Amino acid sequence: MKTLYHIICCAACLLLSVQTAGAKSYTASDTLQSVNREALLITADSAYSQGCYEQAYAAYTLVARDGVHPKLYYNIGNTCFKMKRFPEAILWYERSLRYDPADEDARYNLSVCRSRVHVREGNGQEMFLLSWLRRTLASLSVDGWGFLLLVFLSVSMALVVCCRRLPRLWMRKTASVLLCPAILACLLCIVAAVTTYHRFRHTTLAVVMKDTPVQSEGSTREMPVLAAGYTLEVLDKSPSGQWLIENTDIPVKGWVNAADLEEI
Amino acid sequence: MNQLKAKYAHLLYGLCLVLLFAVLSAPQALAQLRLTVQAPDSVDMSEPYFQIRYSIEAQVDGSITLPAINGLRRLAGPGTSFSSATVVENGRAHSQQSTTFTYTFAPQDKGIIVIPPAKVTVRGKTYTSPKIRIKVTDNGKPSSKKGGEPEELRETGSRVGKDELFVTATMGRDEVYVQEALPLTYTVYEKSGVGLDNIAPSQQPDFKGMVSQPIYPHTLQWDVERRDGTLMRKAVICQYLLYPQQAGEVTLPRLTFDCAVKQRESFMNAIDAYFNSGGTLTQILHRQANACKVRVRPLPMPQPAGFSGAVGQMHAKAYLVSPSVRTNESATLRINVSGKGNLQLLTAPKVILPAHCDAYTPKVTPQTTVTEEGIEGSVTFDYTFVPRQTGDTILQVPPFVYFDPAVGQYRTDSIAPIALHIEEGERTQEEVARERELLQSDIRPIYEGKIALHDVGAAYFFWGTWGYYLCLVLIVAAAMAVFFLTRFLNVHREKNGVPRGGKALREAIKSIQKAQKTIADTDKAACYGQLATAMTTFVAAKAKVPHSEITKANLPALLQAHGINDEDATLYLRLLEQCEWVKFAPIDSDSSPSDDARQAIDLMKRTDKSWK
Repeated sequence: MKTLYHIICCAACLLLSVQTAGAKSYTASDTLQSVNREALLITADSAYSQGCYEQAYAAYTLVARDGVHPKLYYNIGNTCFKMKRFPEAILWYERSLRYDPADEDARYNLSVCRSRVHVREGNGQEMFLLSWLRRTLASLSVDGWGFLLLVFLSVSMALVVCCRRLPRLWMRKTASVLLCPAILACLLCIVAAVTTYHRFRHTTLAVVMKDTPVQSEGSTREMPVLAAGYTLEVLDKSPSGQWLIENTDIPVKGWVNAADLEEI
Repeated sequence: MNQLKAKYAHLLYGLCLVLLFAVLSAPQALAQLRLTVQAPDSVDMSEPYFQIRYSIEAQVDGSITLPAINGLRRLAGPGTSFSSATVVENGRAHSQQSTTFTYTFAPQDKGIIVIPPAKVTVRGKTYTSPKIRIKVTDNGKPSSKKGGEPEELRETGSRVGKDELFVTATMGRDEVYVQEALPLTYTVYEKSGVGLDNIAPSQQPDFKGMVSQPIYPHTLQWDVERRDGTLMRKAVICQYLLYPQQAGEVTLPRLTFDCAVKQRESFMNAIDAYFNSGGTLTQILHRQANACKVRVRPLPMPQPAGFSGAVGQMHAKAYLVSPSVRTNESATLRINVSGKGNLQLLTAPKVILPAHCDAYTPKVTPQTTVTEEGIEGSVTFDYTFVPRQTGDTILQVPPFVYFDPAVGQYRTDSIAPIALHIEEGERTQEEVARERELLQSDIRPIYEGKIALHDVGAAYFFWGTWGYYLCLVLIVAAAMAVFFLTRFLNVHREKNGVPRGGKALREAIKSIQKAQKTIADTDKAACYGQLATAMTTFVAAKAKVPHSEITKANLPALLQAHGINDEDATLYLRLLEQCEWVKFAPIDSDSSPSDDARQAIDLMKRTDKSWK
């Protein structure tokens, strides 16, 4: 038994040392990259503040090739807006919100940008509950909901202990009363996080980059042209370069040319 | 011995059969061989060359023999190609061989040319091709294009004269109106054997005073043309549509082209030849196109009102894209100009919308194709506006005025006015106000804080990772640990005679009530004993001391130490003493167990509340 314990300890130490060495080498190369990235970001920020938007755009997009960050996408969206490339700005704001739906700045700028290209936000006929639910889900990112779940789970666990271990009866009663909403909050957090994560992973969204005609599904009748700047859900992709899209706000559903869209 | 004879006899018979089959089949196979010939039926004098191919399904001994041909000039040949293939079909292998001889001729005299039979020798036997006739015509139209066929290249260092390779610039017309499409074509000519491989302008042309539109795509399509009695290959290099912006005589700049010419290097070794396109070297020659002059006529004056510079043959129409127009919702008026002319240079016509409408900058969408004739197609002008008031109004669209160069006159395409019925929209005033506010506001500034990038493709969120699940498990495990630890401590304390303080009163009351119900009437001593135990246990639990440490001597001090007043402490002691008395002398006592029990419970409740 003692020998077995020693073997386990040695294996754990070896594993830990290997992991530490790997982490060190990764950190060294990563530091080199991050220095370049930071330099590029500083250049881009200063170019933006000086009004050199083309230069800022080039630097930001160069950084965006290597890494992902909603604030970086937000900055690219701002740059595109200043260059009056509104559909592209909408694309980058949407990318930013995809990773961080709680970013109020990106949401506001997206609204401003949409107003410039006359793209409607919502159809105004949605049920209050649905729109509230949509807004609530979008108020936090996946990690935000996940963190909230950890907090509520901790509270729930503490209340479970309190229900059995507190000395006073009223305390135990209070704890048991509080336990129900805490567990309910945990469940809601799980649902919200799973829904948001599923939407992030499995829902394909695209932005119309230039005006494109929509062909209704199964017919050759040509529908009105879809204006640049609209955000659509991609339901299907055909090998011939046509995507089946849907937007419930306009509302519209049909096939459009994939070359006129850009995936978020 | 007989067995050996029989064995050899079998081998002998087999060998004989094989030989017999070979002898019988070989002449039959040879007998099937034919020397076939492929040649065009007719050739025109304008064609620089044509080819005659002789083929036979066997390997030829030596070469082909072809007598001299009158009326044709042999340019090259015979080029020999041999192919061999083995085909396995249903498990049986067949070998196929083929030899082809190719001659390249140029027609010299028109008329019927008789090609005499050619001869080849296969395994000692001579085969003859059939005699054929080729008709040579002189009507200037080649029977087929030969652009893709190989040609004999010149030796390296051979001079390529300017009459052998040159570029011409030709205009569609010599006189145009301002803004009228003027096609300009650059064509390269080369003599046979020059070996032009590629050609491109040395620099982008700068047509000053003109708007240029290149015509795409352009790959070199070779054709044949006789210039000054010499057959030349020609191909269009590039084409432009020019739109003169100013009147007067304009001289187009002479464009220079870089011509990559391939020439044969006979003294190149095999390795160099491999890396130099099979023994050829490329030479860059420069050729300048001829100058062109064009007279640009001004548009007739005075220009009619509403003319915005449209020149060509066009037609305009206007309609509302939105099926219904509602207040506070965007609607689109579309003006579509279609036809042929300077469509891409058109400016949006001025449309006067009702005063209460918010109008936006018109969006221009050209859908045109550029051809040698000019730009054809349509241009769409979308006028997006948001009406703010309900009502009926008429949209007056200005007539579309353009200049038709074919007739040299201005034409007016009147557009019917559009009836605008504006209904009440569904959008609330708050939404409208917000939209207006957004329209007038600027975006928020960029984020200038530190951006810690995540690697592309790596997990971005903490949710769903092993670390996250570990956090969940840790929280549950910590709660369970606290739960079981407190339970263990309580059990341990109870084992040591230290009951839990929280439950002390409840347990004491429960114990007393139980004793009252069961033994109060039958066993008074036991009932008082139970009451004394409950009271002592209660104090021990509250003070968190072992039961054995509670004595009559230290009880009042203990109670007073925990905030119990003197009166209650004394009463507590007296009740205990009474319990002890009744316990040992139950007959002499006239006390009531129920009264004492009620008094003890009240006292313990007071003590529990005042306990500090």
